[in-house]
Amino acid sequence: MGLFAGCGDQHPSPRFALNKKTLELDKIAREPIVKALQENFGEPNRLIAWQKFPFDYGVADPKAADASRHEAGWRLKEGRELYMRHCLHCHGVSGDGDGPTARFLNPRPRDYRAGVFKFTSTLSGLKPSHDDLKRTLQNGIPGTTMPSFIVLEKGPGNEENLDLIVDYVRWLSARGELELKLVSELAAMGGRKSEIEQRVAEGKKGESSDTLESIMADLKKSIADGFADALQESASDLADSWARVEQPESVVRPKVKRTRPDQESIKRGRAIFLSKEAKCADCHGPAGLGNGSLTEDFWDIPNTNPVQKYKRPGLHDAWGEPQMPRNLTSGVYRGGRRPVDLYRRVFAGIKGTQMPAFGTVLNDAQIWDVVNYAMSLPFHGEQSPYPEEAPEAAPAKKVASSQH
Amino acid sequence: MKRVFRVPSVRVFSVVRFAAIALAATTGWLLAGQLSQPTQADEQPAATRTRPARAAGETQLLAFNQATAAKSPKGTGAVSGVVTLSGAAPTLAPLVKKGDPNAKDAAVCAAETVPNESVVVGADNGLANVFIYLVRAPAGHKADAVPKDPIVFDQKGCRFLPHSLLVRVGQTVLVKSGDPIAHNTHTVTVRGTPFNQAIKADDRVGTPLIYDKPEKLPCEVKCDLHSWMKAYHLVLDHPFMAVTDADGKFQIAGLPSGKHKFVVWHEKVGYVNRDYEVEIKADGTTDVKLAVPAAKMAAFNGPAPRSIVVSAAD
Ligand code: HEC
Ligand code: HEC
Repeated sequence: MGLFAGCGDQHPSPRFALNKKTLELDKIAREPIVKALQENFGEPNRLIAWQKFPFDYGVADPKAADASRHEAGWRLKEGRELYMRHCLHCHGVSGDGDGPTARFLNPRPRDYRAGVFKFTSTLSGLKPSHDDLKRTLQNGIPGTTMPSFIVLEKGPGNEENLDLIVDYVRWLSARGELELKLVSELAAMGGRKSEIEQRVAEGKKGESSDTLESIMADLKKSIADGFADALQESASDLADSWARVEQPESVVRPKVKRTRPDQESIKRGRAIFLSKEAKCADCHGPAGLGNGSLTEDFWDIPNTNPVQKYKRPGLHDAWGEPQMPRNLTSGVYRGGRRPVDLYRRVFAGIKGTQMPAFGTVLNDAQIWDVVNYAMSLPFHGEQSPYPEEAPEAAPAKKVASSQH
Repeated sequence: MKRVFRVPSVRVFSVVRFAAIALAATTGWLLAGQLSQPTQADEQPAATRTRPARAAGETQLLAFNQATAAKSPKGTGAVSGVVTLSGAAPTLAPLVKKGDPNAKDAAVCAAETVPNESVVVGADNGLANVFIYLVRAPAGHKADAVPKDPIVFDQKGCRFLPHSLLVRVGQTVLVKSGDPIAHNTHTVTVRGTPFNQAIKADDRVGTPLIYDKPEKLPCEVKCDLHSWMKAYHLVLDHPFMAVTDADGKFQIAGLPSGKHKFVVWHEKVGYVNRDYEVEIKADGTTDVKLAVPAAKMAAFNGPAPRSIVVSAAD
């Protein structure tokens, strides 16, 4: 299929790797997951487009000049080609953020399988919109190794390239997140190897009546009774969460225009930054250097029972990687440097990180003040030189501006 | 640079139902359309929790329980019981000692001792904070409305109140704060949309938190501004759940007669029992007793300390 055009044709066909969490399940519990993924997503060179998800896979266009578009699913296929060429070496075949280059990078490339993305225009807790991901591809993520791919949409016939990649990324993310959801379903049915071993040991000691046979029989019954529902339910949840973010009410839009970043606003912003009400300084440090007191605390790993602690002190992200709050004096903003980008970071928090959403605590004027303060930090308190912005255009027609 | 397609709305997608698997043969492409689940209907309030009010936040909760702890309707039954810890309760150092000047936000957080609530043992070795619930509503259970009254989830002295909470999907939880500093409430949901919102200082009105999906296990709730703060919310789409009170007691009413399998779960142990079978008699109450060996609490305190030989004498 010319998948690895330019890489020679000797490669064995690529496979989607299983999540490590799936491998923690007993074989009996793993089987239905592997089967569900095979049946509903296929393999990299035999893609299956599950209509349940709100992604445009490409409807058959028999009149298209390009013969490859005569069949349904051409968008997903073209997205795959682009992804394999440009993204795979960092983000991996299955979008696990573990491509061959990944282990040399800090921060690590995003593992899409968690379904969590940091730099979004959407409300706290929600997925990114199509346009958010596209903006990330256009601008790259400054301060990290994630490059800008704006060149990919230059030239005739390439206008849609980034949209195609975005849809492939969303599809990969849905695949990976569905796998994780199914793992938690099967764990809840008692499919985890470690738990089975423990129960067998307790049975042997006479603490319970469990035997390996009885445990396995129960597990098989739970799978037979519950797996099909769990699959449909998990996929519906996911489809809804991806569809929901395309609704206008999911987008964070400031209700008032940015306050002029004058000395007064910056001063008010500084007070908020240091205040007991917002506590930005607990993470970012009183001078915004990213060295607040919380970077020295030891934290528990969430949802571990029995509770485990991270080995190292400091904040961690949703992927379990240690992470520092941003040094705000550097003036590098990963999620974009338009004031509205920073407004959104503060209003909705940064997803997958410990930075909470402040939209419940600070009003619009206060958010703009603290944004003005943060943006003044690289200039030692002088007003930031960014021009005032017109409020964003209506979301549907929004075309992200390039910073390049 | 116009996008060619518009993503259809949510509604379209939860309505579309097709079970066909079409095969686009030449490319080896499968386009499989599948059924989506009908949206969950609301269900009936019933059971719950008998727990003496211990703190400000809990009085509210008690009110909620009284409102909903209906007697078992005719033809249904109840289970009531006690969970005990067999063996000596572990001694746990407080999370924050009163007056500790090094505690974060000491003026507020060390004003009172913050106890370690991961194991709370009451009268007659009763074990508190054990969740007992059905993962799914029993077959034939008639759905009905989610309680209208909000439940209060409070924080005082850098401690969540209560430590364990029962919540219905769609029910409003008002996250309040009685502390003069910001907190942050962060739910680590598995199925539902996570909530990670800063909470105003002295917020007596409350920030609404509404869970959109039921969970299989109690969901951890933490504060990213105070590393020790933790609580658990059990979120279900039916009322058949309870959490043991300070003395390890619980009750669940309104259950259809017959055998039911309950999950029994404690934060320190994980599953105490994943299939605890109880037979419910119509118009009766089944009494049960569960014991959790204290060894289970101790066994999970992390890896055993190892000694390392630094230098060996000849
Ligand atoms: C050189 C390595 C590298 C390549 C190549 C690369 N990325 Fe990334 N990508 C990263 C890193 C590193 C991050 C994480 C940045 C962070 O956490 O702030 C990232 C993050 C992302 C994110 C997450 C954005 C968010 O809001 O969370 C997306 C989406 C993404 N990349 C898509 C792509 C796509 C699509 C391609 C190919 C067109 C690609 N990347 C190519 C390294 C790379
Ligand atoms: C619990 C810790 C925490 C708190 C509190 C916190 N932040 Fe952050 N913040 C972070 C972390 C961690 C990052 C880096 C996230 C990443 O990119 O992975 C960050 C990143 C940022 C960024 C950079 C965004 C970008 O696009 O690069 C800004 C601006 C910021 N925070 C402002 C604030 C402001 C203003 C407040 C207070 C209203 C605040 N933060 C409170 C942890 C915190």
